[in-house]
Amino acid sequence: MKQLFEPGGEGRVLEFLSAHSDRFQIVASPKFISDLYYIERDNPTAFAQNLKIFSIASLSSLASISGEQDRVMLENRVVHVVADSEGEDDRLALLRNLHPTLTFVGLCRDLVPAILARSAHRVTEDLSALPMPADLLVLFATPRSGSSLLGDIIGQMGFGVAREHLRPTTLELLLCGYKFDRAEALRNFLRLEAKDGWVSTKLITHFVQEFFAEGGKTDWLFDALKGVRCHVVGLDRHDRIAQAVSGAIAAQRKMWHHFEGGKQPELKDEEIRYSFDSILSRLSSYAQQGAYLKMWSDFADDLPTLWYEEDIDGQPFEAVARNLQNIIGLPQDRCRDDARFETGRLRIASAVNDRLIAQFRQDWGQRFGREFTTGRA
Amino acid sequence: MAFSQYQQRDHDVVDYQLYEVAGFPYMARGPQPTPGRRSLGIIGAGQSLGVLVREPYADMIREGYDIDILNLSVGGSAPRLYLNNPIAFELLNKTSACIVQVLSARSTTCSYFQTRDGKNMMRPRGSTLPFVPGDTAWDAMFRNEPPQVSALVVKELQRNWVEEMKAVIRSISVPTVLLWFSKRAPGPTRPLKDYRAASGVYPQFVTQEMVDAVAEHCDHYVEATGARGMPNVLTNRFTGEPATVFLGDSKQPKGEDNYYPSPEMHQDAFAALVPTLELLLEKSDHETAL
Repeated sequence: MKQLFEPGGEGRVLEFLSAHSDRFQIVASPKFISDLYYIERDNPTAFAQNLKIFSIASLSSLASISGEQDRVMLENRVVHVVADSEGEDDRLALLRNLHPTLTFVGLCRDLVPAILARSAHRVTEDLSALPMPADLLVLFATPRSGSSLLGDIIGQMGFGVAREHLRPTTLELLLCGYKFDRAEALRNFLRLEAKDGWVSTKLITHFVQEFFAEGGKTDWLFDALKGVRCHVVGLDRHDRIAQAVSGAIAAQRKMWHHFEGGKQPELKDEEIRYSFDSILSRLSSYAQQGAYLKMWSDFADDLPTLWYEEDIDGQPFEAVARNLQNIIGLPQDRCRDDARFETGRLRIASAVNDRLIAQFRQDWGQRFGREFTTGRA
Repeated sequence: MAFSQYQQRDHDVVDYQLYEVAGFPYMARGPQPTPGRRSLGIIGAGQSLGVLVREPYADMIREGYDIDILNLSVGGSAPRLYLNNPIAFELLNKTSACIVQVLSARSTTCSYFQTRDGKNMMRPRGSTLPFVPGDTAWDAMFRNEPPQVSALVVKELQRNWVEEMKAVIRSISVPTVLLWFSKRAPGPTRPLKDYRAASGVYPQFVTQEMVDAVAEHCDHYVEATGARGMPNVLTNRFTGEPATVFLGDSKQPKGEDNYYPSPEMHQDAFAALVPTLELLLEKSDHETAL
C-alpha cells in the first residue's frame, strides 16, 4: 500500500484524499493505520495537514459513527472510504448494513479504480450498474518500442487512449496481502474507463513478468473479463541498440514519453552522456523482454505483433492506424472519420540517438572483436 | 462524564452494573459498595473487570465473604492509568485490602510509543494518525524496525513497567495481593523474533523476573493460571440464544471469545485467592473488632 499513499505516487490516492478532505474521509482498520505509520514517518507533512482518518477500533462498537455524526455527515455528503487489510469487502458490507444512511466506498475496490480511470468524482455512483465494455484492446509491448505513441493513436482512432495502467502502484496493490475483491475492482475500472463500449490499455512486458514472478494470481482477472472480447497486439523493436539508447536518453532526460504535456527535456542534446555499460545493461534487459514477448506469442499461437521499424517509425499516423486495424481486425466502422491525425511523418529519434548508437556499435566492435548484429528478437 | 467500558458493546451478554466513581475517569463495575460497609479493592484490566463474564471472581468474593467490592479495573489499563489518577488510591486505601492484578506491559511508558490516557491505545511518538490497539502497534514495530530497535524498546518497557508497578504498590497503604491471572505462567525472557513471540499472551511482555521484582513489595502473591473453559461461548442474557459481539482489534462480530478469562477461569482464580482472602479478611475482622 506504500505506493498508494506516497506523495507523488502514481495512484495519487494521497493527493486525492488530501485535496478532498472536506468530503472524503478514511475509516480504517487498526492494521491499515499501523501500515500508514511507516509511510507517514517519511512524509509527515502530507499526512498531518490533510488526511482525515478515523479508526474502526476507536469508534467503540461502531455506534459512534452514527448519531450526531450522521446529521453532520449527511449534510456535507461525506464519503467514508473504507480501508481494512483483513477484508475490505466484508467490512464495507458490515458498515453499510449498520449505517444505511451513510455513504461508504471501498478504498481498493472503488476509489482506486475510479482514480485510475480518471473518474474519481463518480465513485459514489452505483458502479455495478454501469455497463461493462464489450471489447478490451491490449497493447503488450517491450519498453521503448513506440507503445505510448501507438497508445495515443489508438485513442485518436476512437478506442480510448491505451494508457499504462499496470505500473508499480497497481502492481503493488495486486500483489500485496490486502484483501479486497480484485475482480470487482477491475470491473469498476473497466466500467468507468469504457468509451462507447471499448477500453484500451498498455502492458509493458517487464511489469507483466514481475506480476507473475511475484506470484500474481489470475483467477480474478478471468472472472472480471468474462463476456469481454479481448484484442491483444504485441509491439516490439528489431534494433535493440536503438531501443537501449532510447531508454538511456529518456532516463537522463527524465522524459519517458514522446509527449509529456509540453514538458521541456531536462538536458540538451549536447549534455546527454554516453555510457557503454549503461546502454549494455539496458540492451540485455530489453533483449530479455523481447524473448518474454516471444514466449507469450508462442503460447498464443502467434500473437499479432507490430514492429517499430516497419509499422511505426517514420510512418504517417494514418498508416499506423491502418496497420493496427489490419493486424487485429478492428471494426472499420468504429474508427473515427474525424480523427485528428497529423499529416506529417513521425520520427522521435534525433541526432543524439544516432550519435550514441554509432558510438556503441564502435565500442562493441572494439571490445568484442565483432560487429553487433540485430535481427528479429 | 466517565467512560462506560464495554457496556454498549456487550449489552446483550452482560450487565456490568456500571456506576460513576467521583473523580475517576472510568465507570466501575458494580454492584456499587454501600458506604460504611467493609470492602475489598481491586485494580486491574479487563480480566479483573470480568469482561464478557456474568459472575467474575469479584462477585464470588463478594458473595463468599459478604464483603463489598470496589472494583476499579479498567479494560486495557497500564500502571500509568492509576498513577495519573491518584483518586483511585484515595478510595482503595479506605478498603480492607486490595487485589492488584499483574497488568500488561505493552502500553507502559516508553520512548517509542505514545499511549492515550494510560490505556492500550498507542501510536509511534510524533505520529498524527489515530491511535491503534497495542497489539497492532507493536506488531507493526517489530515488522518495520530492525531487531536492535525492538530489543532496546522492549528492555526499556520492561524496566519502566517494574518501576511503575512498584509505584502503584507503594501508593496503596492497605494490604496488597498481587494477582497473576493468565492462561500462561510467568516465564523467562522471551525470544524477540516477532511481537507474538516476544510478548506472550496477556500480560504481554511480563516475565517471572519482573513479577518477582514487584511481588517482594506486596503482602501476598497469588497465581491463577490455566485456560479452563476457553473459548467463552457467548449467549444472550435475555434469551439464552447465541450472541455475537464486535471483538478484537479489528472489531469483527464473534460468537465466542478467546481472549478474556472464561467463567471457569474466574472460578479457578477465586479458588486460588481463597487461602489468602481467609488470612486477610480474618485479620481484618480482628482489627475491626479491636
